[in-house]
Amino acid sequence: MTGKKWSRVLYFILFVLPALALYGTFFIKPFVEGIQYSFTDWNGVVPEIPLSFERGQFERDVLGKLRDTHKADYLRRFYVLDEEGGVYRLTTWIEERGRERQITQWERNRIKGILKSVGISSIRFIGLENFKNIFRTDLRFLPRKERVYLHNEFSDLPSSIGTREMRRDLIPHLSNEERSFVESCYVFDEAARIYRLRAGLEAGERERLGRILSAKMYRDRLIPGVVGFTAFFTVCNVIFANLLGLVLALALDTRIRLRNVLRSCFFLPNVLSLIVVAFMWSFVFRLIFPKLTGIDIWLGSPELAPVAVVIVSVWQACGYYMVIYLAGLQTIPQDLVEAAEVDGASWWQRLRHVKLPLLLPAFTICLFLTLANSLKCFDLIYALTGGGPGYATTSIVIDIYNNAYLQNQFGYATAKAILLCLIIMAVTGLQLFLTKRKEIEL
Amino acid sequence: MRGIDRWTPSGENPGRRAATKRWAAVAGQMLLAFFALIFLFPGFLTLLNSFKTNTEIKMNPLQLPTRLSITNYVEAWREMEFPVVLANTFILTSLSTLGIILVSSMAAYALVRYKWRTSWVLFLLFTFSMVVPFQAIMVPLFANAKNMGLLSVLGLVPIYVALGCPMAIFMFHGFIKSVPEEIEESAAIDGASPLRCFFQIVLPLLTPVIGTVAILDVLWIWNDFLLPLLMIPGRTLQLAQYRFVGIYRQEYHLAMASLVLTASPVVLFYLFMQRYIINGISAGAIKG
Repeated sequence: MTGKKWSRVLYFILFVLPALALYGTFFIKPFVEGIQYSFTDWNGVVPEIPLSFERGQFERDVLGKLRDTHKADYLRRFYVLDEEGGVYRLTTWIEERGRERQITQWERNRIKGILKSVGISSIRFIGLENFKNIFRTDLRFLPRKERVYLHNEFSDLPSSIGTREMRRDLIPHLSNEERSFVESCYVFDEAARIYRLRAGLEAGERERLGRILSAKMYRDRLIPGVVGFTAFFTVCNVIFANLLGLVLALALDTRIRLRNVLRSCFFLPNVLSLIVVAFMWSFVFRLIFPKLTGIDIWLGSPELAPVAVVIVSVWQACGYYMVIYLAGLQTIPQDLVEAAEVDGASWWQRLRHVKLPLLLPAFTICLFLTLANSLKCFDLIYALTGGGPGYATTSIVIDIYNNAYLQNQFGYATAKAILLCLIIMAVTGLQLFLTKRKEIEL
Repeated sequence: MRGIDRWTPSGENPGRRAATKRWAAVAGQMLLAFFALIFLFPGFLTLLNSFKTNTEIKMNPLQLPTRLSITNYVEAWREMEFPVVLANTFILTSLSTLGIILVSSMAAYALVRYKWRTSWVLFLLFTFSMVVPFQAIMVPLFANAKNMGLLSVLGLVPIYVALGCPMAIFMFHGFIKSVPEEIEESAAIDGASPLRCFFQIVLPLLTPVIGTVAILDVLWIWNDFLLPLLMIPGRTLQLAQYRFVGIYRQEYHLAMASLVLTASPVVLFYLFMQRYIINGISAGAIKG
């Protein structure tokens, strides 16, 4: 019996081990290391063990401090004094039993451990510093107010100022004396509803006016920042992708002849890679949209680029949600809808009171997927706008990528990623809780 | 149209009402078809302009091409090293998908059939990864892969298998639970080992889920961008596409031709398999 038990255990291990080993190496280990790195200032450039030491430093600070001679000998195997005799260099190739081989990860870790015991480490543990910095020093991350000055000291005085700029951005910031001075120079033109610069101002007056305008004419603008854009993108994407998906599903859920062809058409963008989708649309935005809308710049404008990203994202994703809603609609018993029809329920009433409540399970799934996918969306934004212009379309995910690979702040980037992970868990967890409760209520 | 003739509550003539309804349906159909054409417009635009010259595109992007010249395609094909990257992507996708299916179906089978507490804990451990964004493991994963010398097309295969298996295990797990145990038990009594039991009895029963998992993973790996971008820059189809458009951003004709080239394998796959793909995806979403 015990023999049988052992063979069962053996087979269990045989079946599970391949998946578990790979999963452990390429997911669990990096994930745990990621959490560790998020508490350090690792920059990814400095190697984990120093490549070389000054001779004096190595002999005094490392070998001198090591009590254990085994450890010192171990280090001497890998750090070899070079020909000039000034520097100890790490040899990554060592000779063992007559054969050359590269030093292993295990040996690297041992060296790291020994060096750490004498206080030498390229990675510093900095506690929660990374997490604090995300909110404290990262100016791009959180939404913030920015003051935009509307007049430059060195440019000519504007020949006219609009009523909005005058009354909202200039007058409230002036003292009474300055106000009467400005109002004597800029005269209100009733017909054009504009303030016009009076002719014949003296040089001194012009100079004073220029100073006042450059210092006092400003507007506080809210910069959405990375969090603001991510929230905007997520909310718009969730609403519009679900809405369009649902509308398409309802439209296709009849016995129309073109049903399958149309379904395939609407689903097609979903099988394309996001890179192809982004580039196709970038040409649409550059070649077609200017003629269609009269606005020349879409992807280069901080106001319109976020909208463009949402348009493309909804276009790409809605087919997917349509398919899920269609599958949900097909589970609705046809006689239920017909019974409502016989009872005289209008199209809208049938939709509102019969179909939508029964679609709730599909809705739960779609909401979960849209939320998670929008928060994780990378490829599309990266290829479409690269996070620009400025950082108008930088989502958290793009920001993490930039932190890690453009600024080499690996520890900091990983801290942000851990934060994102918590956000995703919280948001989707809350959503599942709420919609599941609603499902049970019905 | 229903067979029974009946009076509607408002007292209208039912025949007339059915007629208006049919007209409304036809109008709705036309409207929807029209919308589908607009919907696919970016695709048409790309296809249309891939045959033209750059000046023609800049003059009028909507004009039909005057001739069907494939010079743009020839140039994009050569510059992208299309056959090489296509082969790379094909090898990577097929090997990874096969690996995911084999490894996950085995693991899921053991996790269902051996009803120990360990099985449940391991199942939770696997499913946990589905909420973790890739960015959280991106940096250490790259460092590990570099240390292990996995920065090559074949080296990415185990990484894809590892990252793809949680979802696949989840789906296989759900399906295997509904497969009755009796056949396996009687096979075991006849002296079949659990390995043989799995490969000869259980695996053939899993075909529908294998199809779904295969479709989801093929589309995912084929279209994936960030992981290969970090590990093997420029060597898969999507990366070659990204680099190509980066270089020829202003040369619309070449960029459009390259987009058509990149999109064509997956579009062909879709055209032949659309029923399976759509069913597989909706099954995957509902069970995932």
